[in-house]
Parts: sequence; structure tokens; C-alpha cells
Amino acid sequence: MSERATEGQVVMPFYIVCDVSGSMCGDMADLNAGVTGLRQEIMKDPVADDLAMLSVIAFDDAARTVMPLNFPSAMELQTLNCGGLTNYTAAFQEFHRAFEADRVRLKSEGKRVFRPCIFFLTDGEPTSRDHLQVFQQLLGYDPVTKQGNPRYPYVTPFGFRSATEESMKALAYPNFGEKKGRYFLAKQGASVPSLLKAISGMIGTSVLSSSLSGTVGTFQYTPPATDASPELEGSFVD
Amino acid sequence: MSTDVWRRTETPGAKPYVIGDPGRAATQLEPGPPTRFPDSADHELSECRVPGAQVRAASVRGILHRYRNQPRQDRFSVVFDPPTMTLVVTVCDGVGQFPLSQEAAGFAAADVPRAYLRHGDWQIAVTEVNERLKDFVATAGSRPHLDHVPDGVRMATTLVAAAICLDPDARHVSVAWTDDSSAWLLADGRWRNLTHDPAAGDDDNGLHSGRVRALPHADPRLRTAEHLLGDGPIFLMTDGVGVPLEGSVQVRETLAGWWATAPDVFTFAQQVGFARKGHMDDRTVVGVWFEASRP
Repeated sequence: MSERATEGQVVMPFYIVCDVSGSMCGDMADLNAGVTGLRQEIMKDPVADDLAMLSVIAFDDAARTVMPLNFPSAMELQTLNCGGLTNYTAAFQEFHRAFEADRVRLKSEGKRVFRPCIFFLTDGEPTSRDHLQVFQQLLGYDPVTKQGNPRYPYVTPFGFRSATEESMKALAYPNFGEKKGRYFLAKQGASVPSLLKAISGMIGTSVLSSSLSGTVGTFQYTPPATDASPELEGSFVD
Repeated sequence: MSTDVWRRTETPGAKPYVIGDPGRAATQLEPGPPTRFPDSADHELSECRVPGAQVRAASVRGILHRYRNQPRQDRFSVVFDPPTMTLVVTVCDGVGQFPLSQEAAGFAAADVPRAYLRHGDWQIAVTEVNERLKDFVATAGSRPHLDHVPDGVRMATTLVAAAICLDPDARHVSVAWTDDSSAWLLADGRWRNLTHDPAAGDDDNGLHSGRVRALPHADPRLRTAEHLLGDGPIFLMTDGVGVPLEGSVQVRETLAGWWATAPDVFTFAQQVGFARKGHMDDRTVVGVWFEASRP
């Protein structure tokens, strides 16, 4: 299909940023199944499949875009592999690079791009030390001074195993305005396979709800409800 | 014409007019149950002839509203005033975030021609309609509805209206609009937006937000313009068609071909509802085709 055939289209971009560090090696089958199930769930809905675009970014020591931004039915699934540290900094740098490239490409194709959303999945504390500083430099925005990145993303982190509330809370974004970020932390005793399935379902519901949130001109990110899963505790950023 | 443009007739129930990639929603979604608003038809059509012009009007319920079992929220009106040879066309787009916005759109579409023909001035007319609309909204609960309407229910509408003087020696149009409903001229196969709004489209940050400041509003964003008219048709439309028309060369070329002359009203309605991936809003277009000016 030519670019002419889709010019003018409205796009909602969603980025799933997955921790694939060494501590996740025992969970890769469940994580890959979660990504596959998420894509299938969205594809079942032709409206969401026409409006939402998904990308998957994996990070450990470094970060890479494993599945480039595309409509779910057009995505080519790739297997996520594990190993290495938990470098949040690399994850944010890769998202920033990928979204700017995607935005320029989509706009050159005549598409209208809504604010991006990040679903950030991690099972551990960051081994990087400067990730909050890098996040603020690359993605943060100050609505009062209008300094920073006006194309800041919505960030919804999901933490389990060793990830702490303090770390997840620091990532939820924006921390201003009417649509403040929210974060999710695994409850005590929840199994990782069960959590990954629940997170996949919550992301799917969020993407579907966002796609159906309004008329074409006014889509809004609809984050997961804080009580969406009995296995995860959802909270709003201060 | 591009090979991406075709009439789809082989699939029962499929949308027959496609421009580019139709997407999955337009071709796969089937009709759902009726809405809870029995006075709101899925589609509304009208055609008329006045001295010097033919009019076709169609309002088509969008895919998202069908999918969510919500009513069409676009409305239009066409009124002719013989003493002044003025055709008043009004197109309104109910704001989708409010469940009764079709009532605001219907009220504005019905009241704007009255107010304009009374005052002959868009600022005065729309200010009056805006005030009356506030009262209309406040009394929503007193009107018949199938389901309970809570106190303080909100509704809103955008607006584009045109007073078209059909005097063949002085054919011109006075346009008024808020937000993203628009008016376009088609001449020699080229589209000209009469309601270009620098504040519309992408925000300064390069992202799309689609925000509007609709009626009723304490400070409506009303803009007006005057234009001389040639022999080319003029179209008023909601953003369901205006957005793809603005954003796509293929849509502009295709609609220019379809609407170079006035189609029959049923064909016109199908064309207004053309399938194109990602464009799922209600669609309303009122087209006015002029008879050739005297030499």
C-alpha cells in the first residue's frame, strides 16, 4: 500500500520497554508469550488495530528496538533474549532515539501522531546511576517554564521481584497536570508468570481503551486502572 | 485515478467507496444494536435546488460511534431566504467526549439560520446562539430521553456556517466557524480551504492533540471570512472529512473527481462515508453546486 493510501492517518504510538537482564532469564518464555498475547488481543479489535501502533524495546546492559513501531497486525514478532545488567539509562536513550525517528518518519508520511505512551516492565533495581538525570534531560518537561521536551511520553512502570516502589514511583510520568502518571508494583507472593500475564492484559486493556477513548481527533491515553489486577498494587505519582 | 481508489461491491455490507487503505474497521465491523437515542438516525440525507444552485447534504455515522453503540453527533441544516437570495448552510460537530452532544449540534444547526437571517451578522448571531445554547444545555433533563439524564450533563458542538448570496451578479459567501469544522471551494480540480486556522492541526510540540473550544463557551473562538464565488462548488464539512481532505493528496484528488459535478444524493452519502484507515469520525458534508454565471 502506497504512502498516499495512508496519508493523513491518526496514530497512537505505544512502546513496551522490557527488562531482559540476567535475572529475567527464567521468565523469558512467559515474557515472550505476554508480548504475543498482547498483540493478538489488540488484533482481535479491528478499530484498535487501525489506530494503535506498538513497538517493543528490550534492555539489559544496553537497549535495542526489537520490534519497530507498527500496527499490531503488521508487526513481525521477534523472540526476546536475556542476559546482562539492568540499565534504565540505555532504555530511556533508546526510546528517545526510536520515538523521534518514528515521529519524523510518520509525519513525513503525512500521519498525525499523538503523544507516545511507555509501558516499562522491570524485575529489578537499576544498575545505572544516572537514569533519572537522563530521563529528565531527554524526556522531561516543565509546563511552567516550558523547558524540556514538549513531546514527553506518558510512562506507566510495572515493577516486580526486586524493583522497589521508590524506583517505580520515580519513573511514572508526567508528574504534573491533569493526567498524572501511575505505577504498579507486584504484591507479596505473586508469581512472575502470573504477573506477566496480568501486565500483558492490563496493557492490552489500556491500548484498547485508549483507541476507543474519543473521536478521531481527541484520543486520550487511558492508563490501566490502579485496581485492575489483584496481583499488582497501582498508585498515582504525587 | 489511483489504483488505491475503488468501489467495493463484492463484499456484502462492506463500504462501497474506498480511498487508499480502507483499514480493517471499515471493512470488518458489522452493524450493532440500535442506540438509546431513537431520534438519532445513523445517516441523514437532504437535497434541494434553489435559484442558481443545487445542494446535496449527507451526514454519516462514524465507525467509532457505531462500534461503541453511540449516536451520530454531527448535524446540519440548509435554509433558503428568497427575499435576499441567501442560502444559509450550517454544519455542526457534537463533541464526542459528551454523550448528549448531538443535541447541542442539532440545536445549533437549527438556531444558527434563524439568528443569522434575523441579524445579518455572524458575530451577533453566533453570540446569541451561544447564549441560547447554554440555556438549552441547562434544561437537558427536562426533555424526553430513554435513560435518565443527570443534572449538570454537558454537551458541546463545533460550528461552520455559510451565508451564500446567490445573486448571479454578486455571488459571494460569508463564512463563520469555530474550531475544526471547515469550508472549502473546489475550482478546476483544486481545493481551497476558506477556514484555515493556524491554531488547528498539530500543536507547537509536533504532536496532535485535537483539542477544540466548542459552543457553548464563555469565550467562543469564532472566526469569519468573506469570499467572492466563481462557478466552482463550495462545501461545508465536519472534521470527519475535513481532516483527511486537509491531510491527504489522494483524498483531495479523489473527492475533486467525485464532486466536480453534483452526484445524486444517495451516491453523495456513500462517498461522504468513504473508507480510509484510521478515519472513524462522523462525516458530514453539505455541497453547493452553482449554475454557470451569466457571460
